[in-house]
Amino acid sequence: IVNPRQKAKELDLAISNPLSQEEESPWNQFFKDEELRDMISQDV
Amino acid sequence: MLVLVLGDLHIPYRSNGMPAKFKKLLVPGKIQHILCTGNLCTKESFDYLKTLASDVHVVKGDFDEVVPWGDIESLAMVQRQLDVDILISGHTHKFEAFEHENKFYINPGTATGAYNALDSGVTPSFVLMDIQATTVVTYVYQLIGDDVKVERIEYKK
Repeated sequence: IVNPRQKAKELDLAISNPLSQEEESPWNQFFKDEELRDMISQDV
Repeated sequence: MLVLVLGDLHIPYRSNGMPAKFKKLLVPGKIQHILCTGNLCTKESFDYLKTLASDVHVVKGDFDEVVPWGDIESLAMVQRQLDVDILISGHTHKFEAFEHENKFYINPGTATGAYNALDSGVTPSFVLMDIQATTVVTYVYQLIGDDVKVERIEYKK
């Protein structure tokens, strides 16, 4: 799982903030991963 | 942990709602806690916040304000009384975030851009805190013109 806090520093704030819904945002990826992880833990 | 800090909405008396660009950013499932500096005005606004996070804290009333408004010495007094690392205040409708004697002060401003008693040209703003152990990264969202501008402020205890 990507750590959005580390990656975010290198990117433009307009994209890499926790509320960003941009495809390339590490935060967006983080929340998507989390959703998937929740689903997996439900299934296991 | 993500904590949303916002307030002074004044819906429907001084504003007809949060800016659409703010609402688009605020989606459920990301935020754990919401701290509200008051003047939501209606149950509908409270219910809206409840859809974003289950834990919503709102200040008691309109007249529990610190006077003079936004005065650093008065705020520092409250900070010492409460013995907190981060003091959140509102009412001024003006965003502020600064460190004072190693404590962090945040005023999220008004999320709707509602006018206040002294000023009608108010910029809509709210704050999102990312709390990680002793570090808080504060993201400031301001609607300037038609665009949401994001700023980042770090505070270490």
